[in-house]
Amino acid sequence: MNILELHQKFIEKKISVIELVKKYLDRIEREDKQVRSFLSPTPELALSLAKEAQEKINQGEHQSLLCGIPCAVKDNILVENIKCTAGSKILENYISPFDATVIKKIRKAGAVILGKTNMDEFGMGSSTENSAYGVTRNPHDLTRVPGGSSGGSAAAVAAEFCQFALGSDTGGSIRQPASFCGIVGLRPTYGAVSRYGLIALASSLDQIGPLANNIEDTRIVFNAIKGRDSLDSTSMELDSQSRKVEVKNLRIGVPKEYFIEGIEDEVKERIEESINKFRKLGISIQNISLPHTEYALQTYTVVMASEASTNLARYDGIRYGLEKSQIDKIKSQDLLSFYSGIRGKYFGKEARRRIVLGTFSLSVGYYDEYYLRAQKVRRLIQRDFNQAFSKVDLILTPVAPTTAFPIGEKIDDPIKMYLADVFTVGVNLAGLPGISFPYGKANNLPVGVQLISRPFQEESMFRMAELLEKA
Amino acid sequence: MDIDHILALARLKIREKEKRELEKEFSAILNFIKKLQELNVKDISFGSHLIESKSVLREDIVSRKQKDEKETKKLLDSSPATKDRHIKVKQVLES
Repeated sequence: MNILELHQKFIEKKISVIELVKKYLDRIEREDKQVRSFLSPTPELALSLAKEAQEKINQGEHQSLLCGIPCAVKDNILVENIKCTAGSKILENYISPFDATVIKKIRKAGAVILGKTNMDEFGMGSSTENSAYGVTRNPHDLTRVPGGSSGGSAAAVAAEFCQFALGSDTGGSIRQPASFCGIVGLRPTYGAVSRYGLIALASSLDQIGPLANNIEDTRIVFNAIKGRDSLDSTSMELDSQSRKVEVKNLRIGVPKEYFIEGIEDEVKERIEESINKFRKLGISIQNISLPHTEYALQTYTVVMASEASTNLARYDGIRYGLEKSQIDKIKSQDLLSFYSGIRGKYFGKEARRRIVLGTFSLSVGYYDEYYLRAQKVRRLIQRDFNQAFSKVDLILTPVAPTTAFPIGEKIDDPIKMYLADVFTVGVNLAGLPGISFPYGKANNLPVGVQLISRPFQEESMFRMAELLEKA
Repeated sequence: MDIDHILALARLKIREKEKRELEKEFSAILNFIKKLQELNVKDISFGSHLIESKSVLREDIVSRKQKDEKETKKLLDSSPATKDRHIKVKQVLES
């Protein structure tokens, strides 16, 4: 069932919210042992929110479509009074003192939060293998990764543990797991959704977004969480002009630089089939070029690591995150060695790696050649997209070069892991929205197609993806 | 790259074995990033957004009164070591 159908059933009193939520909680308890998508299931909170939602529905007031709808939240989005770890040991005992803005919004709408989901530590990773709490498995094949860093959220939706989930996307962390798990994942335009209450990884790249089973559900959740927030000065109000778009008039561009060596054959076939399908439906398809694509991954690596090293500088173990027994483990005479000891011990390997890279890129003598240069190349990548959008309205690409890979295959080689993001990082660098929607399978595993649009034109991506969904 | 210097800046203490591993990985990562040097970026101004945006400012006044002691207490309770509304830390200066 989709959100609209569930909403109808609630209004017609055919299903009670509490019954539905209990069903989901039971399913999670029985089956999540295998998938391990949740870090902290929140049954008490879920049942109390279910009760509130049911009361709202009983009063018959005009209800939000999300009223009573069960969801999962990535563990880097703060929910008040609930543990929030960001997949890291350094926040093992952090109880959030407040709600993120997106959580305030979905609670107001009556959504029911079932729990916090697993993720790569602080969002650093493309497989959820970098979680300090163990790896989540892909519900389509339990020997494989769900993708990352929003792997827990994607797996929870794919395993039907919730109707939708919230994730975050810095370099592909919603879109890539969505494609590996066969669901829809949206990374909104930078600034479309408030980042207040999102544990920051790279502040010029991060966005919160929805993961769901179909485009309409994704649209409903996006509409509920988007909007300007005075607590996030980078957030902006959406231009609602896009509603008037006639989808048949939209032109799709296919960038040749995204169809290179290294894409699995069957994945390439699925993407080409989707292009042909659009063509058959009368959509104009053009070849375009994004010439600086070959520099996107390197640019992203430097920018993201630099911003991450700054954002992770706040974790000291003493103001929040750890218990007394954990800080007592560090033998130190003074504050400086205490900080170094705590951070060295409680940050995971990938986090330490990126902090070191970022610190280096920002340090005296290297800042110009590394960080500044990367930010300038970023400008070139943005210009490529800008120029493409003077000829086309949407850009179609693969989401990942492969389907879900086996657990353990890439974890020992950091660069190999970074390559998994090659088709998604350009979108974040340019501040654009991108959606991954499922299209067929390759070797029995889901394949995702990516659409990219101009800023704040998410509706045009939804409409175009729906053409294929309904075909 | 002087790994000890970077680790000091990053406030990270790690074992010798990991230091050596990091140095090796670093070599590979820096080699990977080197590609960015191919481009001529002389005439590009530093900016990070596709959408030109203005700075968002507000009046420097208290816009939200703290609810009460409860909020402060909640934040202080997050710390594993407090005393009289302060967070206890190790000595700051070396003796």
